[in-house]
Amino acid sequence: MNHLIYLYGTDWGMGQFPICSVWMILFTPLVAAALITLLTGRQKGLSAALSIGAILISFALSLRLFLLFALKGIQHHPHPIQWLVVGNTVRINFGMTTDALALLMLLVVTGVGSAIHIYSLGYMKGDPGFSRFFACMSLFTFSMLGIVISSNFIQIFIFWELVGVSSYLLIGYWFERPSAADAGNKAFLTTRIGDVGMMLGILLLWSHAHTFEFTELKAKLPTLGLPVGTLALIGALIFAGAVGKSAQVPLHVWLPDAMEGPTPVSALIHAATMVAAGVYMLCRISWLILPSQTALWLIAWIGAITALMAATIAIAQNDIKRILAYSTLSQLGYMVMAVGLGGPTQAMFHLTTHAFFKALLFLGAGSVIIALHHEQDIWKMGGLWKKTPITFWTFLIGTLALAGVPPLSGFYSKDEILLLAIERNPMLFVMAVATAFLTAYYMGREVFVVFFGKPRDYHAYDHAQESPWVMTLPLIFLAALSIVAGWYSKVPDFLGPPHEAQRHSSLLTGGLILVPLFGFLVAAKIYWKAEPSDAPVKVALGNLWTLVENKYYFDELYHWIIQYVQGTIAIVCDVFDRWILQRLGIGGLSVGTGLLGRTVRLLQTGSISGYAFLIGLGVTVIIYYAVVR
Amino acid sequence: METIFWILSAITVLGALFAIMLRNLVHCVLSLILFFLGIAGHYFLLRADFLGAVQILIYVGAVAVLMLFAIMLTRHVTGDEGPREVLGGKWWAGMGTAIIIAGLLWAIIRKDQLAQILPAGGAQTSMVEIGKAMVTDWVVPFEAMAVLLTAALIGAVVIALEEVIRRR
Amino acid sequence: MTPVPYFDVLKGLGAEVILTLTALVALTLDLASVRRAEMSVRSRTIGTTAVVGLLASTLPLWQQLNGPRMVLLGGTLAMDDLIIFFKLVIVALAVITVLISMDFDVGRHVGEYYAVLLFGAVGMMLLISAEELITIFVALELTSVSLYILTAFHKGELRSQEAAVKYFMFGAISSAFLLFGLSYVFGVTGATGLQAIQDAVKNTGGLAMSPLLATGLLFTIVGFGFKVAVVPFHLWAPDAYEGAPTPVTAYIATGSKVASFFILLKVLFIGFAGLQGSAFWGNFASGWTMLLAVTATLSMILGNCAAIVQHNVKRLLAYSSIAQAGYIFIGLVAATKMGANSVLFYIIVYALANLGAFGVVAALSSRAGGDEMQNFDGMARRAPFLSLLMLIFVLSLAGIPPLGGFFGKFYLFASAVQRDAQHFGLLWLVILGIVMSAVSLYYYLILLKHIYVIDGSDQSPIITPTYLNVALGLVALAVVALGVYPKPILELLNNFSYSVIAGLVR
Repeated sequence: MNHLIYLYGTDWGMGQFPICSVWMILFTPLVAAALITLLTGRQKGLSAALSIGAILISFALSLRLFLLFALKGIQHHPHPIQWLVVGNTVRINFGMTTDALALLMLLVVTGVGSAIHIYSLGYMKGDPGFSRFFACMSLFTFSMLGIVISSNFIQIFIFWELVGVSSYLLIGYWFERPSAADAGNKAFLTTRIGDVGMMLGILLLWSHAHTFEFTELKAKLPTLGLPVGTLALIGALIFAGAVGKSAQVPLHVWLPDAMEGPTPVSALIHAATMVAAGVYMLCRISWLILPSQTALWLIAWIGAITALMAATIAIAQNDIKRILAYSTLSQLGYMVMAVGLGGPTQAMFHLTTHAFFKALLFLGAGSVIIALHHEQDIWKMGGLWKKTPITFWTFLIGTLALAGVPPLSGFYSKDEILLLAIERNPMLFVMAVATAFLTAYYMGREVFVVFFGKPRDYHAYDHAQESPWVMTLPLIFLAALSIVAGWYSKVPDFLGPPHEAQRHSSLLTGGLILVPLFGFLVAAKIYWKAEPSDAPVKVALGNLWTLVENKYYFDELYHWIIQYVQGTIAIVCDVFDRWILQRLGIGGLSVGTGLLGRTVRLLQTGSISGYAFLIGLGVTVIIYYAVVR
Repeated sequence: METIFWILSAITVLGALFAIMLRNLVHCVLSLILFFLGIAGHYFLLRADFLGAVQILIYVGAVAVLMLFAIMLTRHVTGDEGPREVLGGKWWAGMGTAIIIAGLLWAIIRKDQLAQILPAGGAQTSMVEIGKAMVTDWVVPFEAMAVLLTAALIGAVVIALEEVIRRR
Repeated sequence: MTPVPYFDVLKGLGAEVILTLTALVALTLDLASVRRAEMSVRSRTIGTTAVVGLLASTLPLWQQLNGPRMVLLGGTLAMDDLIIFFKLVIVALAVITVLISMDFDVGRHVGEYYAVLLFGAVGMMLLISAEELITIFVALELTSVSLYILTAFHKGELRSQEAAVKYFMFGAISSAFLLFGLSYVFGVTGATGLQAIQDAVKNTGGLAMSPLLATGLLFTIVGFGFKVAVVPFHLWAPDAYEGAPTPVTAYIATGSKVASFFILLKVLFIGFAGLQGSAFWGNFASGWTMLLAVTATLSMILGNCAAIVQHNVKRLLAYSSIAQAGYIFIGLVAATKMGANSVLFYIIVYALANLGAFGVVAALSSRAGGDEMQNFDGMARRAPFLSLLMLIFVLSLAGIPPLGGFFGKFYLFASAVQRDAQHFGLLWLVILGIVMSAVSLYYYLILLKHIYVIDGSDQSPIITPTYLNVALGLVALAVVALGVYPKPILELLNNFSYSVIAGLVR
């Protein structure tokens, strides 16, 4: 009986927290993905309807839970399902976390996800793999929601990898394009490097605490008496997972390439949700990293470096989506830095607002791309603001929000982080302000080049037209959110105890308002003309421009490393094997000689003896070792 | 006893060496017979009478003779194919390995007190005892051997059957 | 002399007896009635007979389930739920292998092929229920000899013959090593039963690591090292895997591996309990964990790195299984009950995924004209279903959640981390394992790229028989299920409460 109540939720009518709905939030998209794959692959419309319906249900239920909690303070702690128990030490649950952090993230994922799903209806129209696309999107939504509600490390890791797989499938969606397939592989492999560290960290932590549950670990951690070094090591290792997934330096190289995927995918996965999963995870386990100064220091610096570096790269890119990709990197760096500065609340706040305006920007970019028939080079655009007014205005809102212009949402969240930085680490504050300036500058550049000036490709310009309402409606929805998300200034409070800093240091806030304005001014000076170009900046920056234009040569460096180091190891191993085989006369399978002669030769030429010699030698050494010791 | 052991060992080792080093195949088989005899002698020395007898009967009597017949029927006995490089020019490898391992094993056995406390008498190995053991305590491996031999026989037939080789 | 419980022995060997009889029936059936029929008809008839026999052989096994643990005749035949469970696993693997073979050209000696395949299964089953050195050796030989013969079955193909010869030569060497080692163990302890050996080692405290015993231990491990193909005893594997008919490759890589690992675990954990030494970083002590740790390290590095440059799918999978053997050794090195459980779990997952992968390769390569990477170009469009299965198998081998391979690896690594957690004793091995499994993803993705991305010259769809699709689909389902819901199997393994292993666990 208990079991039944457990499955079907307790009591719907009494306003109690129906556990069932958490389940439904998670599993509805999975069911949709399964149905599309198994049944409705042929009927495109039905597939899309299933997928969109699923995420809308998830959204509605998330909203309900959120409101119940935010307004009435109703919060339950559902019992986890025991997934498996082995002996005394391995207990893994399939749990559901429904605290403030999770609820907020649920809302972000399903809300932004809904908008993007609807948008995809227009964007992917006529694509041969329409159904497959929606199935993958639903699979992704399921995995992402899984991360959000995870209550233990194993669960989060499993969904973490699932997200990776579905992202791999979606990036390589146009797998007819080799570049897309390569980008998918690159993303999968690069994030796996981070996951190696994460898995190690999880195992290490478990070997001391014998549990994977977040709540238990949180309670147990102070009593374990772990050495400072171990704690820092565990924190850093788990952070490595976030470095991979949230594309921080030095594992950031996959994100810009991931733009090969369809634009809605870029918006959903590589801007709003998946890449934010790293930050979310760090916030989820803030109790683990906050006690370790070393880990915090590392996280803060990696974040700050990523933020600044990506912003500098963004000023020299020409692809409308890649600029946004570097901007995403930069903003993720901001969030990670906030965590490192001891402010997970601020990080989550920025994550939320960023999800809205960055998804908006990507969708806007997608709208432009569609209007120009899959043209992504900003230097072939121009003057579009008259042709695509809704896209332009919403894009502008997104830009202003991203740059941090009050009273848009980005201003509030960024402000919080900057205040935190000046209090904790002035050096990082300087880097953050520089990033803020650059953000306004490169976004200004993009807006001026794309929407203003004279059209550079008249043919494309003439055919350009505003996107259909399924695409503009989500834009408007997200634009509205980008404006108001910061006003509900309780968001940080909602997540935890208010930050102690002088939030109303009006002087500082006033100063910070000027930063983005200054950035826009500089951008306007250079690019707000009929025929803008990069030339003046190129001259001014000199070699620096080449450096940032080539993204600090990270790709080349990694390519070199892979080519030479890993390639060499592989070849050495292979040659080692072949060498033994051939050198000792055992030979590979040399096909072509007569069977009998070959066989006899194999038996006669002492092929085995050479090998036996090696084995004998090895055995001798080991025996000697065993005997003498 | 010790002298007999050394003599037998010398015969065995030499037989084995000749078996792989001599040029004439018939000579090789004859050396092999010598080697089998040496092993049989060791069995007798260890008071494993039955095993020694079986060794002579089966290996010397049957296997080696069969091999001789096979060679004489299928090959030109006198026709030599030049010097046989048994170790593929790596005789040093074989010798080195043999010497190192032998030395080490010798040292180990010398050093190990256990070697000295092992019963020197050997087990009672009458044919009756062995026969009984085969169908009582060791009935499972005994039956497994039967299956093994069946499988090996089938395999031998299949592999030996002529078939046109299709080159890849 | 106590009376021999022949009836119990017969009952305990019920499955083996049925299989042996089936093999003989298959042989006779082929000779007597269908020899003149079409090749495909012959293959189907005999194959079906084999499947029926295999399924029938599970009847006595089901009957014995939940019985008490029995050790008959000094360990030559042991019976408990764990053993029965693994015999069932062997039957399952053999059934799938037969189904793959029915779709594959195995030459004109059809009856002989299936008979030998069944003899091999008998060997594996005997191996699993053996807890005594002589029986272990004989059963291992039965298994190996059957596999040598099967390897040579592609009579028309030169590389099959070469592979068989090479496999046979290395197998013979390994048997020599094994027998030599076992004889030393017997010489020192005066016992051949695993439990008796453990007692002998325990009773004479000074015996712990006498040089003579160390030698015996070493040679035993070398012998087993050959059988399970770990570096540096792996040299036969890539050639044998590549050269053998693909269903046979699947059989070598799964059935024989499962049985060998199972018995290696028992030999080490029961027989050599107390001789494990230490493989903790900076605190090495001679014993089998140290030896295994070294071979595991070499296997993981060399197996994974060499796999990267392979162009032949079977060869790639061969190197990948060398690496997988390295991961499995990590669980053995942990030398705890958890380690034992993780090894048992992983070999099941590994066997299923590998069997599936080789099954797909067998089904596709015979229709696509070869087993080189480029033969698989664009396969996703030619055979979408089997390509999808391949994706599942390969990702499971790479350890991607939620597939079985992920949980298996996690469990292996967790058991090693937990051992001596305070001093990070085995962390070095785990780091290596995790890093190397990340490397492995690289070559698995290369394979998937060929299947999914690169366009092949031939675009014609490939049709495979339904029974094969269903069988492989079930294997894939099992791989997924073991990852999503491993609880039943894990509990099963855990509840077997191997009291004999308890001597080792601290």
